[in-house]
Amino acid sequence: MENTEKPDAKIIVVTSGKGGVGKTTSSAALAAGLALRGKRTVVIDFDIGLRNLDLVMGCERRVIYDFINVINGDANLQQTLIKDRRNENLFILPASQTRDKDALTQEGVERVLNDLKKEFDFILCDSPAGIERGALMALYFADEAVVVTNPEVSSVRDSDRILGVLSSKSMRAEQKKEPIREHLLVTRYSPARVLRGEMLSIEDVREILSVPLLSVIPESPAVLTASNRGIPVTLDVESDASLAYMDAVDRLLGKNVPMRFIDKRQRMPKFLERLFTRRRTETEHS
Amino acid sequence: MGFFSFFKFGTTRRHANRNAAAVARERLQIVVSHNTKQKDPDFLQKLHHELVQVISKYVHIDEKQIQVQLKETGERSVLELNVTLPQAGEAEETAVEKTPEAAMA
Repeated sequence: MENTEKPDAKIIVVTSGKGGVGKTTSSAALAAGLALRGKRTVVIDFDIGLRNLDLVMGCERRVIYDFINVINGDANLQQTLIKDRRNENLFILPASQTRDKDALTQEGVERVLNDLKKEFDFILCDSPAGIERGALMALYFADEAVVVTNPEVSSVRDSDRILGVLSSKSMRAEQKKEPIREHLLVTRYSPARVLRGEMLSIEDVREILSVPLLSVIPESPAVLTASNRGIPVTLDVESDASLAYMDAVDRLLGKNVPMRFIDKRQRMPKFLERLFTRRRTETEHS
Repeated sequence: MGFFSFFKFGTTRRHANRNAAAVARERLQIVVSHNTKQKDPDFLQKLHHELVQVISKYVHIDEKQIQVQLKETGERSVLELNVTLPQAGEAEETAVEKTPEAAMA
């Protein structure tokens, strides 16, 4: 596993401030998507104590050592990293289930990331919610940030807060280096509700947060199905959500892809399709 | 009558729902930082221009009689506004401070 000329991996933090908006889902989907595009990718669960990336990715029974074990020297990376069975480019570094947050030291995290940088093209850091230690550690060494936001008041405000933290408490900010490249990932979007004026539109969110839009992930049954099965959305059966995530991956890789799922009219045929296939087994109700 | 009241009910409810996102947007624009708006380089210019327009409704002034300055000291930002009102032989100064957000750590 020796590499002399390979450029260092890009570290991307997936964060939000607000909980439950889709960080872990998105981390898994983006990591798997990058792997599908041929990039060696590792995704790290920074939620010390409330591990769930392993569950979402379906490798919960293969966790032996975790991030804290590596930091403490109880195990090395090779023993700890879990290789995804579906894609040889994809690896997971699970979080600890029982340790307290103080076990996560900046020096320890830096050491692990430096080791990983040599072996991978992309390192995704799945941040916990909040702005405490786990979240701060996840974003501290980031080169880029994906800020996951629901079109909903609390999420937007918390995303704004986390953007403030990114521009003041990251290593790049502290060392006055080139700032972290920020991306807005809107999730659980419903074009129909936006049209009815019930939901904030993409333009609303963009205007308030002023961050370049990475992608819009529509509200989709595919997300629950995928996590139930322990498969990242992008490795599961193709869906509206998986397509939107792959667009995000392509944009992270620098490609110019037109946005989809913002126009309600685009969705109608698919919705009708699914409506007809589902109705076969369900009883009709108005 | 029943027909009309149905209509009214429908419109009111739809109207209420249609407002929801707009209400959310307005609330967020007030609550969410200043940080993002201040990244806009024209921010001060636009603010200055609009202030001239507003104050001109009440007092006749020109652009030079209003000064808007943004001062950033550590965690707090101070928006300083100076308005010189024309009085016969006198000048009146008003300073307004605004410290948005800040202490939420």
